[in-house]
Amino acid sequence: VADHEAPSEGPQPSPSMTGMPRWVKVFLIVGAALLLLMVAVLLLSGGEHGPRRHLSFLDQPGSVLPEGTTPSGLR
Amino acid sequence: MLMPPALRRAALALHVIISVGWIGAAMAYLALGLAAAASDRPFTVRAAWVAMELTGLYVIVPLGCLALLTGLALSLGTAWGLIRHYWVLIAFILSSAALAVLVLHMPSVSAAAATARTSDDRAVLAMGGDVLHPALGLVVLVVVAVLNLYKPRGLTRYGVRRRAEQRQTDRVRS
Repeated sequence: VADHEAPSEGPQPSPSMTGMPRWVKVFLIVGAALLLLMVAVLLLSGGEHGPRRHLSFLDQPGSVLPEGTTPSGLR
Repeated sequence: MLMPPALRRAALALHVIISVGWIGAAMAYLALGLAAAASDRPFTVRAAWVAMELTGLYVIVPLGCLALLTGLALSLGTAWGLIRHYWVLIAFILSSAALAVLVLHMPSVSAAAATARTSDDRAVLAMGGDVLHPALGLVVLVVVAVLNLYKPRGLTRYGVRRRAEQRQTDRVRS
């Protein structure tokens, strides 16, 4: 979605411009925290997080596995 | 090699259209996933799963691949580069991750849709929906779109080095 015009040259890079900007640090910290949270939720839920989580109905009468599909194939 | 201005604008138009389409299609998928999760009508749940599979396979995955390709072409074909600016690099990593999760998730969706077609009403109602993946995917896509629109400042080490080299070259030429 970018406006890919050439980036402006701007001023000479100062020491503060050459280091990692604050927004990147904040971004990385928030991203790492969310990733850890997701891994924790996955571990606590036994790794069941996709549609297969809803496929416990296969144990119920009336559920039909399509031809060529196995329960493991639903993973 | 940098793109000439006319080609750059055409590539940009294509990239914007495809990227916005990807976000819109993900929203449609989320609506279907929510409908399947919330509905107590077997027909709705069944239809939602079939539609989720079709939307995913024939709209979302192709748009995701094209958005990544056009984004790559734009970054490599313009002065932005792929790894010179933090925002471009982060947007590329997030888009790639979203596409990878999407592609890995689709076989589960296809299996669920196939099962929804053949199971009886009670079993179909027990299926529920698919909300987590499209919701997280949408968050990632919106973050990428915001990065693309705001283009926050910040050069990577490679970007700083390239800019210094460029200035050196310009000075020698002048």
